[in-house]
Amino acid sequence: MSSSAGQQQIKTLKVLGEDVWKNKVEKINSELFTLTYGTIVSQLCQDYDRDFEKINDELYKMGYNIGVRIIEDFLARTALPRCTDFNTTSEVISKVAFKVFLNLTPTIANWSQSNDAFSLIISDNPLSDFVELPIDAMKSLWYSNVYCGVLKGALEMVQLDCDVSFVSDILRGDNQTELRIKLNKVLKDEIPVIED
Amino acid sequence: MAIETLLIVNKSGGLIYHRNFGEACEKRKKLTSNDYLIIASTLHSILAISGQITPRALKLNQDDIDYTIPYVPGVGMPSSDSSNNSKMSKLGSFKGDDYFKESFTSWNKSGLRQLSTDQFTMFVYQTLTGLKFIAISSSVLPKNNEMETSKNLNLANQIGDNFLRKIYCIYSDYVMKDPLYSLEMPIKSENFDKKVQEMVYNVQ
Amino acid sequence: MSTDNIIYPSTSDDSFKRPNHGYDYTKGAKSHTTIESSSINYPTKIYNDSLVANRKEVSLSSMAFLFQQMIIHFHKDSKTVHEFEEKLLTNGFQIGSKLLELLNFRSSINPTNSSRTSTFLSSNTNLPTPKMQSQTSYDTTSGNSSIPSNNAVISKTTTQNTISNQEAASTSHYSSIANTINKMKRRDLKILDILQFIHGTLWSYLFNHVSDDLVKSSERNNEYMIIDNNPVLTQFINNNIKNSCNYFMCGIINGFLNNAAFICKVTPHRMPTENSDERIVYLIKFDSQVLERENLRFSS
Repeated sequence: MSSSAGQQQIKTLKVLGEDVWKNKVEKINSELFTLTYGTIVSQLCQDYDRDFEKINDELYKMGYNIGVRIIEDFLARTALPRCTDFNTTSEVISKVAFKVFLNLTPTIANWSQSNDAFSLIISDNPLSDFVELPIDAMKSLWYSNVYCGVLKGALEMVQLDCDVSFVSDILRGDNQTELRIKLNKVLKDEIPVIED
Repeated sequence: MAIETLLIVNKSGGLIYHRNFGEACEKRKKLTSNDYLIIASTLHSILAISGQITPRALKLNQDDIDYTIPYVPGVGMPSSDSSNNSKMSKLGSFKGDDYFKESFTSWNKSGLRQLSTDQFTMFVYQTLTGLKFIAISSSVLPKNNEMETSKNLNLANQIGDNFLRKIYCIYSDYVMKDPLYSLEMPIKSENFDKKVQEMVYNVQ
Repeated sequence: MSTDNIIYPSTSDDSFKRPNHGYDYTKGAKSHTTIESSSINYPTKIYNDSLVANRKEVSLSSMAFLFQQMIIHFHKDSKTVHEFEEKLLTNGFQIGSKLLELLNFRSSINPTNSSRTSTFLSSNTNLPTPKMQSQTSYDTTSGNSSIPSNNAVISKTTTQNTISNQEAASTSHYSSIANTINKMKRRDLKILDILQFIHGTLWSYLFNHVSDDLVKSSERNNEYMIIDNNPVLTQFINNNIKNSCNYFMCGIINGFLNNAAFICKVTPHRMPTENSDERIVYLIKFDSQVLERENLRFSS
């Protein structure tokens, strides 16, 4: 990771992410996005009668459905080649994917010993702008759980089986919003035969 | 380059989209939809097999091969002097006057990319997620002398790849964002049809 | 049957079983006491966040996918098309009601030396005549000259305002922006005024451009129409449910108007023309009491 080639690659990805965001993406007001997500969560609270575990699951499922589709948008837009290692994957997620879709660049941190898990620290999460959780929700709701589903779905479509979950959330009173991504295995049988 | 047929095959080999364009196809014997299904799954298997039989010598020289496909400007885009008012969302969620403007790396490193016969030319574009876009063009590549042929082949291939990547962009917009579309199922989207028609018409 | 329907007697007796819904009115605001810390762990961050528009944007794809999932979820839960449209309308309604307060507040912020549109609009917009100039006048003038406006009083204190603006702007980071507001924008009382606000400000806020047209129906007195040639949110949706999905936008307009005391019903209608195939007309039918009120108050 500390090799100069690695650094060069990270820089290229950063430049790519910024270029695509600036020039190739139609944008919309982030507050509309925030407000729409807010009504979705509040509708779910009504539908499931404030059973926050169920709501977390539903948000995850929604995110998963988004993830398996958004990956096509991402690949069509950036045409990035397959990542050679999980390090590169983390950089692509942070510097290109989040940048292109949400204009965010979460920080990568807390790599595991075996280099198969890392955390994304999201500052300035657009979904939680002006959101305050009620006390019962603070204990069990992961408000932005949709992110976990999106990452899981998208990574699965490029043959990476991962577990994605929230570790902490500012809305719950923690210091930062942290997402943990753990690679379980590479789905080798599903890799299209066109590559080696 | 006149595109006659566009096929989209999902990662399990099922045909999810096929459309014929142009009047030339009317003259030929019509294939039934069942025929197309068979074509799709046959192609799927051939593409899989072709990926396996790449000569070992080629695989060893992997680093020398350049898989970059240069950007060919204006493929499938309306001509600049058209009187079409620039609609704000002309390209869906893509900003600017074209879906992409830089060269890109092909994901297809060892599989079939192009098939030329004396009746048609077939271009294949495979994505990282296993989706295959296949365009069959009625233009036949001349086979005069060797140098000419390979240059022509190259340019035709590049145009084919550019075109199919744009179809991929349209797919990611009008099929992926459609609430009523379920993954891996046949595509039934008027918006998608319309955009593809426009693009094929512009490539003519 | 939900226990919510039973009216519980008010008591601060803890042993009285009652489903905890967060805020308990008998006890007031509860401090979230944890074993680890005794400090009040009540997140009040949102009251410190600035309300001034920060022009943040996300990609249209993200919004389209979120919208898609919302539609799928509602579609799954609804048994009829009408129920589906109602759900979208209700959810849009919530958004519209919030936007009424937010946009009115933002349009009260005095213009600073920087771009006057930066206080509440996303980015470059083409508002006909910015309302900011007539900030201090009594009636908000509209940019459309065909609509008769009352006398716009350009206050003599405008220059005074500008000076105090500069001072206020420099301290705005440290104190609440309420300090920079000299005069709150008055509520729109006339139908045309509030519709102009929607046509100009609301649309610019949402989509970076004013809506394509604002029309009064010639047939009926209580009908007005807002026209959008290229609806942004539903552009990727196919025609079989596209019009139903437009109810979300109708909900936003409806929430906006209803909360401003203009009771109405809003419905979307697809009316393609040769130039725009996807043209949508949002038909706003005001309640008769609104028209009566308008006639009583404003008829000359």
